[in-house]
Order: sequence, then C-alpha cells, then structure tokens
Amino acid sequence: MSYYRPPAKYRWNAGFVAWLLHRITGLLLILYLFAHEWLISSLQSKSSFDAAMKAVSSPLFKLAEIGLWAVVIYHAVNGIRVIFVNFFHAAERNNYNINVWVFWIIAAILFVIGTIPMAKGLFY
Amino acid sequence: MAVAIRGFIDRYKGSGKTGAFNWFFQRISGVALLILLLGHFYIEHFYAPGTIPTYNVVAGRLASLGWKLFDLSFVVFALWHGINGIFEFIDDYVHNGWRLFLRALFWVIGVFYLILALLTILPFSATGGING
Repeated sequence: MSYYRPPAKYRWNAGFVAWLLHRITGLLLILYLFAHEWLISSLQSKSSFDAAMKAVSSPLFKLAEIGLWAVVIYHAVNGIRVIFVNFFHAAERNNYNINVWVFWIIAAILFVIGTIPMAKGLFY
Repeated sequence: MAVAIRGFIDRYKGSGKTGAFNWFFQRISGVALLILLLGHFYIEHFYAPGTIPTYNVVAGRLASLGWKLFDLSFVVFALWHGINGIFEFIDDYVHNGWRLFLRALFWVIGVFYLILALLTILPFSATGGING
C-alpha cells in the first residue's frame, strides 16, 4: 500500500505544536468519554449514584476537573481555528503563525474565566 | 451561504471511499459539540459550583424529553467525532494488517457505547433506573 510518508523531521512551528496538542487533547477526550460513560452507566441506583458523586467531589477530583476544562477548551478553541484555516483563509503564509497565537490567547482567557467558578468550588 | 453549503454537499456526496465526507463531518460535528459539550460542561460544572450533583437533581432534569434529546445528541456527536478522530490516527500511523482490525475494533466500541448511552439515559428517572 502506498501512502504519504511525512518528513523525518518536524519543525516546531506554532502551527505544528497546535496540531500536536490537538491530537493529544483529542485522544485524552475520547478516552475520558469512554471512562465517563462507563462510570455513569454503572450507577443505576440512587445510593450508588450519590456515593460516586460524593467521591468525585473531593478536592483531588476538583483539581482534575480543572485539568479536564483545560483540555476541553484547548481542543474546542483550536478546533475553531482549524475551521478558520480550512474555510476562511486563516492559513495564508503571512498570518498563519500569528493566528495560532491569537487562538492560544483566546483559549487561555476562556480557561481562566472557567477556572474561577471551579476553583471556588474547591473551597466550599 | 445556501449556495456555498449546497456546493459542499455536492462535493462530498458519495465520497465514502475517499474519506472526504468524514473529513467534512468532523468539522460539522465539532461545531455541534461546541454547543452540546460546552452546554453540558456549563450545566454540570459551572451552574451550581460547590454543590454535589445528586441522583434526584439529574433525574429531575432528565424527566424532560428535551434534556434526554440534548444528552443523547451529545453522546452521538461526541462518539462519532472521537472515534472518527481515532480513525484519523489509524490512517496516519497504521499501514499494515492491524488497520482493518483496529477500524473494526473501534466500530464495535462505538456501537457498544451508543447502546450503553441509550440504556443509561432513556430509563433514568426519579423512580430508579434499569434496576429500579
């Protein structure tokens, strides 16, 4: 079978890093979805459901939740960037790398905004 | 706009062999997930910070058909988007006999999780789930 062989060396341009992070966060999200759905589907009685929800409301899980938010918001914002690259000419040579940085900053701002209510939840 | 969308549909119609439809629908489902996943995240994580979601709260929400449809469409789009993403990994990195096996495996996993979602969400009620 013939297929495209990527070059042996990748350049660490912003766009490449953005693509790599998109892959890693995507893989984390599908694995999380499998685990999440498996857990919820196993909690079919009121007592087991409430016991599990209490367990995942511990500070450790709350911190992990903030990590999940980081993964979700990166994948979502970079996904929007991919659509802009595909359909709205965001991949021109003169603006490509700067666009990556613009979307990274947007993702960082949204991450902080979402982290504030979740971090408050840590101290209840 | 309508002409542009029509153009896309025509271009990717009958494109099962090339994967172009999958490529295009990865974008469409991604946009759908912006609404569904971020909505889900808002309801579960931001709406009532510091409170623990109890069975009764979730059952109360899922008593409405609208929320059942919201959660089900979220699972359908998320599963399709995620497993299509895994198919992209397979296309990129697996070029030997494992290809067919891995694609078949993730088809089975996808259908399994779809059925699991239906069995979990549809009977979820205040009077108890599958086991009462």
